[in-house]
Amino acid sequence: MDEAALIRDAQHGDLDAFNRLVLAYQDAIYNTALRILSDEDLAADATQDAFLSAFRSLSSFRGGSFRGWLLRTVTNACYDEFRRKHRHPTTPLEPVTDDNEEMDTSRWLTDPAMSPEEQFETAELEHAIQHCLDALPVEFRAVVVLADVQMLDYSEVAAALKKPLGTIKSRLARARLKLRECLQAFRELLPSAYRLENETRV
Amino acid sequence: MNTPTFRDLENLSAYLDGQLTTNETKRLETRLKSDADLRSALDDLRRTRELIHRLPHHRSPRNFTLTPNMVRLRPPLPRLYPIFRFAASIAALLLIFTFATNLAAPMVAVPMMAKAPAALPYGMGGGGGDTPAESEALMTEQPLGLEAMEAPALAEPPRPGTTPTPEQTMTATEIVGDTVPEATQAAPSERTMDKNITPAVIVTEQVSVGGVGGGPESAPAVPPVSTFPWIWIEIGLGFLAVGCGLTAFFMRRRAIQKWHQKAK
Repeated sequence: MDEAALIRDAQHGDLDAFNRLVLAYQDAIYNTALRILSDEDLAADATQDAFLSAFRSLSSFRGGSFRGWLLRTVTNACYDEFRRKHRHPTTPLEPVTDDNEEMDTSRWLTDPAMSPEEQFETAELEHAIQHCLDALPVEFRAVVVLADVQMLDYSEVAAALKKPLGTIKSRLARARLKLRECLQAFRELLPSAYRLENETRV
Repeated sequence: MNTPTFRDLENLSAYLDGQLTTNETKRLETRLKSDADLRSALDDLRRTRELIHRLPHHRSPRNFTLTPNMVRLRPPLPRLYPIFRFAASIAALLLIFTFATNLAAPMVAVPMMAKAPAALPYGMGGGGGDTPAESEALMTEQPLGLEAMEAPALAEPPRPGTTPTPEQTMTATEIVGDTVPEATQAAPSERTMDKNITPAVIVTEQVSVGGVGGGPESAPAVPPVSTFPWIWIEIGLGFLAVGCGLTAFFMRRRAIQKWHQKAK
């Protein structure tokens, strides 16, 4: 895939070219939204909004990392979702089983290639981490998701969130410390190699 | 061994991401060798970071590709389209402005015309003490009694503070004709009786001098008759607006038709 050519074509209004970029990045964008919003439906809405917004403002893309630019767009879409959710709180509809009973977790999204035991462990770990991510203020959560989940470097995170590098460094450190404290509560659930033994006081 | 400060932890976090400078890295590594608490904090942060890295990546539940309806795509328009559209808009605006100005001009002029006769008695009663009737007689009889009529005006010096401004003189003289500026340029003291002055010029001077004591009201306001071909300008602007608008319209329509054919 010649990304630069696709972007150029998309900037000239070629929707097919843009849709090829969507297919290439939709998983990353959706996962970012999912980690920030912690809700599959809201994450899907934010992802769709982000792609729509990205297509409309594609002329403002001046080169650099297209993935980073898309991540910035989806982060903004997530902030918009948060504000909307804050203004109009809703009760989410849980996914249902074949017997029309509500499923209490979203384990149905896990990779079916894993063994049941692995699936269970992964789901528990994910649940624990997501719970701790949800406890973070949204600005800190966005930094952690972009730096530690999407593996962007500090300068890319700073560009995506339009914050100084020092702010990103500081927020990431604070977020990791808060996550570490929170994950202490799930110590038994964590794989032995990742159990946090000590509590560092600041 | 000291408890790590937030600054230390911030540096440890950046150290894990390789975001410290070479000097900062060396300094921190030196401290790590001797400080067990710092090493412990680093291990904790590393485990936390690795745990977050272990978060599973989900496949998106559906494709997020966009449809033309979602983005409300518009067909690519010719490059000249915005120029024609802009020209049509500007021509239409100018046409409206010109039309409105021409429409409003007589409305503004009529009240001025109505005011003018009322101002005459005050205006004409200045330096010469003329009444409108006298003034009229003066204008008609001037060629006959030229010397007699000129004398009082020349003998009587202008009152201080009532010297006519060039504008006033010009306003008064505009009525008479094109010879006025030459005649009014001469100062009253320098004016000697020139027998060869044409009656038209003398009338002009009389009107000017008569207005000395009357102020600005002394000049009867008669709107100048405009000979500018506004109607042709309006017609031209109308044609331009309609022409450019139609061209832009057909350009757009053709582009949309082509785009739909291509989409099929």
